[in-house]
Amino acid sequence: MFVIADEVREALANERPVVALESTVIAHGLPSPTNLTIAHEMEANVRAAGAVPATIALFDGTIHVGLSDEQFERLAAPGVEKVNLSNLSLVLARQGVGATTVAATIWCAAKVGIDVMTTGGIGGVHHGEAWDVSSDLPALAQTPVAVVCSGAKSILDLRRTREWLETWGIPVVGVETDVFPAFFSRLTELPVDVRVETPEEAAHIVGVHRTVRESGILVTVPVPAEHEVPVAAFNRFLAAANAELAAHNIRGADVTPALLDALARISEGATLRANEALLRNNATMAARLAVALSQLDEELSAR
Amino acid sequence: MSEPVSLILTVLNEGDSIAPLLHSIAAQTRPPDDIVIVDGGSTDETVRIIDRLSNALGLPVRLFVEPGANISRGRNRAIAEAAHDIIAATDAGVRLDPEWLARLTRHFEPPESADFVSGFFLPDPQTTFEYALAAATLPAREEMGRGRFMPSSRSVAFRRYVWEAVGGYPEWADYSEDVLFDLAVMARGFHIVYEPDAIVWFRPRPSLAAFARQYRNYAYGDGQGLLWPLRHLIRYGTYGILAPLLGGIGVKRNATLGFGGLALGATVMFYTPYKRLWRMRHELGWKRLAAAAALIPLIRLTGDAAKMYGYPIGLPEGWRNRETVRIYRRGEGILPPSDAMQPEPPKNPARFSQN
Repeated sequence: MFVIADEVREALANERPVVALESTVIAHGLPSPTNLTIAHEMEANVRAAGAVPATIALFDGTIHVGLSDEQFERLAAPGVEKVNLSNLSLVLARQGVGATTVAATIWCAAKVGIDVMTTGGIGGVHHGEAWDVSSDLPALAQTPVAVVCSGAKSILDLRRTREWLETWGIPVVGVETDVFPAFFSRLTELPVDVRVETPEEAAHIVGVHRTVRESGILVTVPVPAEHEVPVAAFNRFLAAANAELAAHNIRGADVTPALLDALARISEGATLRANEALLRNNATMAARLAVALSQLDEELSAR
Repeated sequence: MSEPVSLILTVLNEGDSIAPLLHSIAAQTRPPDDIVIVDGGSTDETVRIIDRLSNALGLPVRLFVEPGANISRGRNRAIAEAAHDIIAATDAGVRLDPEWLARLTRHFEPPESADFVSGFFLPDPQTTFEYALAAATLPAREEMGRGRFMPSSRSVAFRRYVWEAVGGYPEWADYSEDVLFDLAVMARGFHIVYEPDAIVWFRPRPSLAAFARQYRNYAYGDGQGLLWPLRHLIRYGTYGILAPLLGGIGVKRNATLGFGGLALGATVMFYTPYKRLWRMRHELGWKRLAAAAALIPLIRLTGDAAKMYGYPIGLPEGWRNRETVRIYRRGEGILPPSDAMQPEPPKNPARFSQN
């Protein structure tokens, strides 16, 4: 079922730090050719900080942990399915190509023994009906992986998302922030559970959490200040982009790429630059967290 | 994009409550194109917080300070400064639902082409007292659009010509200005649409004393605006004549008639609050539900006492200005000239705090 790249297998066997990366960012999250560039830069950042990157995706009926350049190219091609926990087995059974969301990525990561994952933002509770909840949230509640992210996607109901996390016992750590970030924006009114100044400091909390709970933990990192799109400005861009989609009657699977395109154009590239910046930064932070966790494990085993 | 919208509000010493409101404005799915805030002379951190936070959130805020301005004057100034023809109004101390502005403003588009849209407001109680207060005093959503429901200027939007036609908000009224504005709008026959899903959330007053001050002020405003004389008369009659009379009959003559009459009156008085409280039982739990139920009579009696105290203070002023009040309520008020929109010391310093 799992095909683990040699580099990742060796790192896991030797208890060296590994960071899982999602693959929807390549297939659905960023426009081409930025998607491949950023995916490679994220892996490079993980390596530069001393960890091994393990991008996860589905190919031909198997789950691949750690990808080749050719597999990255296949993910960037059209027709890739977005994989969460509800369709993971279906895509495997059909031997399709699948890009993993946060939910599917952490499930796969936990199965092979990876403790840390990086992403841009998690899914959450949607505006409107309270039952419209991303599968990322229940996956986080059940999967012992630390997810480094810039909060939840800006288009979500962040207040309800934050309440969901609290209700289901998923601690939220803020790195250099007192508040739960809103992806493109650094500032919200929603507090994190604890503020730390570095990912190394967060590692101590993650380490303790692992020993007492079998659930995920969020380590939130705000978008770098120089690339921030303030929340009200983002919502203006989003409203204009939605109006454009409605005017062109764009629906279904075409909505997300069309929306991302429209957002990038209307914001004159600001949303895209913010997205890229936070992805790169989160990859570095996740690697530092994984390295620090690995050192903690070493210290514990040496006692 | 739909037609641009200006959002207006007034503030006074809202340092503790302005941040949630600004965050909720920033989170609107249909963001306002222009935000005008008029500060009535805050002595706390309100202005500094607005300045810092609106900048951090990317809100297009223009802030004007008019020391001593009452709410009406602040709203008129804000609307005069607003850049667009659709004006949405809210108030400090509330938090907007993310869809609030989208749901309010869609009614201005054809084919509805509303002149005035009323949203709703729901309590955001935290303490048992606040739950009890919400049940005792605030209408449920299904009560909207019928009978006595009056739109609140914490959750409305209207065309600028509506505001101009009725002569703006009544600056001679220190309180109840939104009820007077509603009555003037209704008198002119504008097309009013009720949108119960355009929600603002607000915390009820935190204590009995704060609630009593609020209701005293409302009643004072009722007196100034010659509002609801029959309701106030019935209140005085109930507490001053009917209740003592029934009590006396119960003690001295006929217990069934006297106390039965009092019980019937209490049932009428408390039926709706208890019905609202019952709907909150899942949020409260049984223990807090019982405590809130016990508070409702106290709240109701305090509110009535505060109203009976405040009304006669405002009434003489209303009577002196009766011609102005009558003209305004017919929807024939005169908009203050633009030079009156400039800051000047208050003619009539507020007798009571804004609370």
